[in-house]
Amino acid sequence: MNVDNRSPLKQRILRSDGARFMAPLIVAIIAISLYTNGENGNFLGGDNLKNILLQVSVLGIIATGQTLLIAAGQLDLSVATLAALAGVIGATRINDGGSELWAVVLVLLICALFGLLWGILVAGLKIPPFILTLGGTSLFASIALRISKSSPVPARERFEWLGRAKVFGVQTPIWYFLIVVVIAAFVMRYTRFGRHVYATGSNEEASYLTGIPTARTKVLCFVISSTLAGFAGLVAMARISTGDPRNGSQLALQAIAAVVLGGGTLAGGRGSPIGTFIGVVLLAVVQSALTFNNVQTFWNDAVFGLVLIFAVVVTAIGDLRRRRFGARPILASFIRRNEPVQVPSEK
Amino acid sequence: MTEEFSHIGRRRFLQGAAAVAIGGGLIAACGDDDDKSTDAAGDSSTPAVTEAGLIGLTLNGLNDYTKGVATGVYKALEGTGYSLEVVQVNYDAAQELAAAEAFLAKGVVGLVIQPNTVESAGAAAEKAVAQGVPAGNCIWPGASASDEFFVGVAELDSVQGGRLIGEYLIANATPGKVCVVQGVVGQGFSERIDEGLDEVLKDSGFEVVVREQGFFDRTQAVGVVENAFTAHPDLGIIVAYSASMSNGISQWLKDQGKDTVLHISSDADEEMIGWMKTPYQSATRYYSSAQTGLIAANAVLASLRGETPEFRTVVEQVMATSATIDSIVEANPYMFMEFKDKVQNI
Amino acid sequence: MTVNVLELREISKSFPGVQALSNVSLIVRPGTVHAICGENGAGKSTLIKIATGAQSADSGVIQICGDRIDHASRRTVQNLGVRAIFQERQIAPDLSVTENVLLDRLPKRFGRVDWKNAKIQAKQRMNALEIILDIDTPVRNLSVAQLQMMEIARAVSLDARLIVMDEPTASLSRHELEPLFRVINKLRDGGVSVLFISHHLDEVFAIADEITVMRDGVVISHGEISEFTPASIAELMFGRTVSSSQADRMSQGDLSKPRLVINKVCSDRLNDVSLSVSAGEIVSVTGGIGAGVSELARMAAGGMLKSSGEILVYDDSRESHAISSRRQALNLGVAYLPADRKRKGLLLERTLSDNIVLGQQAAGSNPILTPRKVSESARAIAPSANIKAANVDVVVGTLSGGNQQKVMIGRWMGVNARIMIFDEPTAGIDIASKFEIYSELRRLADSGVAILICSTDFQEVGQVSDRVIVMRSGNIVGEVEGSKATEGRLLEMEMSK
Repeated sequence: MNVDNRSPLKQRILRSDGARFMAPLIVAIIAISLYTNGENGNFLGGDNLKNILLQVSVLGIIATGQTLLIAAGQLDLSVATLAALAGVIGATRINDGGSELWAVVLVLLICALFGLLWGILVAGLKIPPFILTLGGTSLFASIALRISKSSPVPARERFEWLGRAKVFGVQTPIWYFLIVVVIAAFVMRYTRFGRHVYATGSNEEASYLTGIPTARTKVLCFVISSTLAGFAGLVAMARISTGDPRNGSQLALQAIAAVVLGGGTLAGGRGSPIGTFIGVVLLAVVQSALTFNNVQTFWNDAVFGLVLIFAVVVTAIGDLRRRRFGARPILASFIRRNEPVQVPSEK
Repeated sequence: MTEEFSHIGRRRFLQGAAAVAIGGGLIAACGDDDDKSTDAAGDSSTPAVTEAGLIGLTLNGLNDYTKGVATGVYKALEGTGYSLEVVQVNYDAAQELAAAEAFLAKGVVGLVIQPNTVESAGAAAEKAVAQGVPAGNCIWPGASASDEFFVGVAELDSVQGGRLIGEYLIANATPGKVCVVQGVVGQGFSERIDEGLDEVLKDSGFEVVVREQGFFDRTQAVGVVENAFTAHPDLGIIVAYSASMSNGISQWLKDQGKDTVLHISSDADEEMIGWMKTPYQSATRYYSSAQTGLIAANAVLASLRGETPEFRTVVEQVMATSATIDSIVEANPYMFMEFKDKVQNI
Repeated sequence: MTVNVLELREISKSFPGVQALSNVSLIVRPGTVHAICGENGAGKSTLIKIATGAQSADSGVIQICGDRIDHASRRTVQNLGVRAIFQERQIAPDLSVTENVLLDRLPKRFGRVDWKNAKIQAKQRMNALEIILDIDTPVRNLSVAQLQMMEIARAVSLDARLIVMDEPTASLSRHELEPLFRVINKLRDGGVSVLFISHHLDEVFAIADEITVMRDGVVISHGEISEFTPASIAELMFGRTVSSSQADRMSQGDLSKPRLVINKVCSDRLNDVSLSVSAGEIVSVTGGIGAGVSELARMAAGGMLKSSGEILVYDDSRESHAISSRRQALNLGVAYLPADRKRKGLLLERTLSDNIVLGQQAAGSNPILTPRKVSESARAIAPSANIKAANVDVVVGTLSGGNQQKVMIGRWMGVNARIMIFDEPTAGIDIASKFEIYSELRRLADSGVAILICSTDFQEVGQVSDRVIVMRSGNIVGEVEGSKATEGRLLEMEMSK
């Protein structure tokens, strides 16, 4: 009964959402890595570390944007085809003789405008984002095909800095991915906007009645997510030197999966860029391990499915325990620390 | 894509009545014809002889390969009274069947199908047969239960294609690790190439260390190759099952400066022929997509003229290298360029 | 001799760090109404959760109608005729009243739902309880009070031998108590027992036959109601004497300094409402269901559109600002504390600290807000709002109703709100915490905050207000000084034409 004391640091860390959600993922990543490395010693090499991050850099940038949306209780399915559209527009601009920078700025501007449109429709007209962005998915796919005349648009020898150059021996997409994650983590944790996002996602009505600008918060989340999707699309385009209108149709669901793996809930109020980062890395580690172990093709989807199910089940068990027995960290049950945790005396 | 399709979906309603009328007329015509031919030859299975009308073509998706198929169909119809309408079905089996039904409702006299899956194409052809509309198949991977519904098929022996690739490897490469980038497993094509390839490579010293789907997608194909090289830095051979994937892989090899890797593909398109003149792609198992369309369409036309077309027509396939590709393509182009404009905006 | 409907013997239950119940025994006889009283944390809720199979006991025996239940689950207990109505609503918000009342027992005909019959059945059950609800409305549209009546209707409609109610009156207004009591009396006459938790001693005395008083997880006393007086029960509950006198009035507010002026406001529920609240003053608006007091509270805070009229806020330099949005109202120092704290006030799954600083996070302008700063200000505010919790990192949903309301108050103390608007300030709060909230209100007023309370609890408004305004059907029908606002007087004003 003493509000002046914070709970002990160790307990707070063990009990924090982050630890609860990330612990099982990290355990899974380590287990998969060790096993695969036993089969093929290249797995834990520096090259593969870079390779893994490179493979998911585009997904990671999109998933980071999606984290903000999901934390705010929203969702955007159209990011995948928007990314493809961004790549096509970028490549087309270059082929028409524009400068690279101008093409990038133009694409980001267009994507931000689409995000603004979604945000205004969702926040203003209270349209469910699921249906709205599902519609957007088809719309963007169509526009991308029309602009590209259904064929990949080559952008050879261009956008080196965006997709293929190396800085300190590390490919630029990895840098972009890491920078985006770090900035997003900062924004979500250390800014007023970040707190507004979580509050809006936790209880929109309560936040609104408290005076939080919930509509503006939601609109901003859509704008940020769409802009990041556009940027990811440009990186993807630069990586294969082609604006492919069909690029990455499965990215949206993978991004949502990564956010949920990292502790996000579609009901809103939860999700962190760092958690999403780990979720994305887990997906990549699984993919890479499948290749390293030359697992037969038809098992691939099953393995992905099982990883996803494993993660949500472990999280759900953690939640259940927390609700039943107070905030008892799942990590503690892993490492068998069963000392009683203080529980507020009133149920 | 979807836009095109929903357009038809919308029109279907409006044209329902007209379709019924036309369909009724056709059946009536068949009836008349049957009466006469029974008198004359006693052969009741000869379909009606038609000189003009609309022919429908469904493509499994839209890319340079399927555009080539479409030019083949245009080529076959050149100089006839038939007109052509084309839809693509986004690699979706259900959509393929729906598109065929829409064509039939519209009153097409012939149907050419570039299949998405063996089953969905068979189901579409069955519907066509029920309405007395002849159907042709642009890729026939081997005998199946739905064969009776097609008047003619372009037979592409994918197993043989796999053997060609394997034989090329044995003749031109030193044994080592191989990475196979499949298209999509479950369609009945990639598996058959695998079968032929594995058969030839058995006990040859070549070892397939990575075999994964690239989903006919550049980025995903590159992802497979990146993973493969990290897992096996000594990887020397890449076999990819489509031009769309190989083009991404070639670009990636170039970016990485890997000019000693032997990269072999399947099919061909304009971009690939460019890559074949670089160190980043050595050979392709070539066959003409345009020819597949031409064969299937010709079978449909023959049937409409009242002839009984040959059921199976084999699509030529051959291993092409940088030295031979130009002459091979000239003799048997993957796209009839005179129709290129027509297929640009399907 | 008759078999007891429910018999609990030596029940114990512990949670990590807390012994919730130790050796608790309880007997409910057929056809009796049995009340459990106790302070928050006394273990009442845990006890009835165990009795209804929602939680399992660590040790002890449960007997229902003479049968010993070894593994009590919700279902087995239900099948034996024990029905529970918990405080957490168990409803399907988008389904109609009919569907919610009948739930899985919708009458079927030819394998399809027989809607005609279903509606007749639902109507009959509601009529039997004299509950008036539109059986076709989605439950989402019902008020908290109506929801509870619907839930009671559902439980009673089942073939029950014992109905367990967790604080059934917590969110009911006075007008709805009488029908509830009528229902309980009918049940008792029909041989059905009722076991309920209540904080309202007057209600306990109005309806209960027997009473069990708990404190700190043990039974302190039990017996026939005639053996007790309200004062003796209160003393047993708290282990000390409780002053039930009015909270001391230090000031009456500075009437020369109006803070909030509502001027001829109209909406679909309100008709030409005008009032003003001065700094340091507590003004209550009261009335029955449908009077529009809840709408007025939300509108005054800028959280609802009005069709005409104006809401003015006066700042320290007596300049007036018209309110047009909730956010603008916030920036003018207007706090709003909704009746339904769980749905409209709190971020239930987040921590005390997150909730208490929410006002600061909404109002401030500095874009950077470190977790350290958040935690520091939470720790600074929490004690001044008298919140009782282990620490500021507890999940707010686990706190008691009284503490949750103090979190809400703390949220607004954190932004130095000059005007606080309360909708049902003590809904769902136990008797002891109620008095704490009342003295909290008084302290706030003494510090110069203008307080507007919108409440349907006549006793409450009489106790805390400087002035009471009575409304009926969206109109103001009278005003009376706080010291003269007895329940009788308010009821008279509300009823008179």
